[in-house]
Amino acid sequence: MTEDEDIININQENLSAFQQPYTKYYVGLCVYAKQFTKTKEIAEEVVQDVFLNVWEQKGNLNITGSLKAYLFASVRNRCLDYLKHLQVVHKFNEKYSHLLNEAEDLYFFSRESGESLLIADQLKKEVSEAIDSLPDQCRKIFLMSRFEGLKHQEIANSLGITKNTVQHQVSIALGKLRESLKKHLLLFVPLLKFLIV
Amino acid sequence: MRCHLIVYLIESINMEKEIQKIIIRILSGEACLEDKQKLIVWLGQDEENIRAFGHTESIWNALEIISSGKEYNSDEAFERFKEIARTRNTVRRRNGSLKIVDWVIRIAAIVVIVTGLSYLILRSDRSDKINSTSVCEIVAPRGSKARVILPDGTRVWLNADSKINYRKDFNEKSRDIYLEGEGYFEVAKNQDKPFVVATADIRIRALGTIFNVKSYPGENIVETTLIEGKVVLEKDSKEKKVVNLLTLKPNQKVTYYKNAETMTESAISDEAATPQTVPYVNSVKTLVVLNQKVNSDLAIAWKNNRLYFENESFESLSVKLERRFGVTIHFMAEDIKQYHFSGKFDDIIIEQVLAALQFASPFYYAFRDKDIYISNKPVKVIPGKGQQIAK
Repeated sequence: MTEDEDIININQENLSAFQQPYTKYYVGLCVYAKQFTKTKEIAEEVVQDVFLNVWEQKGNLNITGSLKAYLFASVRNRCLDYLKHLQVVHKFNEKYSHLLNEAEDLYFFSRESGESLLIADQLKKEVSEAIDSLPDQCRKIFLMSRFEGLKHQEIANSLGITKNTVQHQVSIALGKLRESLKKHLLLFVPLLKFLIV
Repeated sequence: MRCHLIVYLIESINMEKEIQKIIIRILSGEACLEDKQKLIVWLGQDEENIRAFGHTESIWNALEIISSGKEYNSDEAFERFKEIARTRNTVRRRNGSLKIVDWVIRIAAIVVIVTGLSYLILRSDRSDKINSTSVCEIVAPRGSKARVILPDGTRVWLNADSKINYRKDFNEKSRDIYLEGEGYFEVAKNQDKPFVVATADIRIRALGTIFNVKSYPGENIVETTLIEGKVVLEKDSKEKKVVNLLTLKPNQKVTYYKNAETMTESAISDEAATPQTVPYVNSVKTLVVLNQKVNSDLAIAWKNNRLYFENESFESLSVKLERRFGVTIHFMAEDIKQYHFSGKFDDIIIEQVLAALQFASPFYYAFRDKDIYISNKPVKVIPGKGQQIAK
């Protein structure tokens, strides 16, 4: 029924056969989960839980799509469940409602993040090269935004420029990256499911 | 002529720049509601925009993995995983065999993604003049759902085979939308402009609330379930006067019967006889049945890609399955329609729902494209040759 090698591996009753798919997807799933949960520890816990669930169903695992799609969807659903749970436990406290809303919007806009997270490994080298070739100021702002996780306003303050300039430079950087990574990106055209719950 | 063209080009470049910034704010989680609105409109304009957004998002995520991927150690995590898996295994063996019910739930838990590409049709009038009578329509076809944020910030989830439409001047003086099918509404608070969901038969008037309305054409009922806040059900009388039917409190569900006028007294009392319901029949000869306390999770399960049903006949369940999965179900034996099922499913495909139901009550089924034939005898369907049942 399935041609996904990973699923065949999982259906074998042996833990070490599970290691290969596990390590292949683990980091991508954690990064994905953290986008929802905002906390690294909880992200890892969610991912572990999803893998345990898959393992316990071995033999019965009946996945028609790919294992990857299955894992990413399970992680996403579990994160949303977790955030809903938090919201209820804290009696609809605004902070948690906000967290849930943000997560739902993320889910809303990017169904296929999993795909791009997984090809990131293959693109590491090309991405680094592309970043190196950016103009100095542009690269600096981009790295601050993307790698140091600074808010646009914080970057603006520390460099003495406007928030608008920061956003403009980040968009130039992304545009150039997109241009130079064009042929790699064509390999994984994201299937659009935006606006679909 | 030439002048116009230049103006247009400059405008589109500016738009492009603005969109780039919006995309960056969306990706970095710094977007405001207006950004999200604009992005949705932009994405709806051109498939190329969708691709551009997808690629930008891919790079963004690729960078995420490069920058934070080092924080995660998959080998260590796998060691922990092995330990937990071994312990759980021993516990499972001690617990012994599983009941049938457990089986149904376990099968149901095998979560599978519905891979069919779902889509949303966003028709927008692109004429230059602002025409207040033009209408926006959002459609979720059979087999898929849609989520939209309306111009006032209200979030709407549309179930399969449903649509809403509203005038272009929505939110200027009032907030009126028309619904056909099922929708879940998280209404943005605005005391001055009531939010009104009109169906073919009744209207639901709300301030800042969360509620679910189910009103499919071809079904005899309109169901409204309130999750939070307050809504008022109203209807126009024959003299075009607004009649308030009743006010709902959270976790109450009201069922409106479209053909109450032609229903007999006994049929009405049958409908209203179940516990916890109160019939309201008033001057417009309307029948509404109020459920004082419902599990609202049941009503909005569809929004979270879940399928919940409690003691529901196969006949009525099949309607839900048809919409959700975009299939057509044919019953080859009458008695099967009266089978009753309860179940909870997460993201799942139709084959697994049917397999789980078979655990509870035996029946046979076969597919031919999007048609499913259900029978109490083995079913054999010859592809492309119409339905054929083997003896």
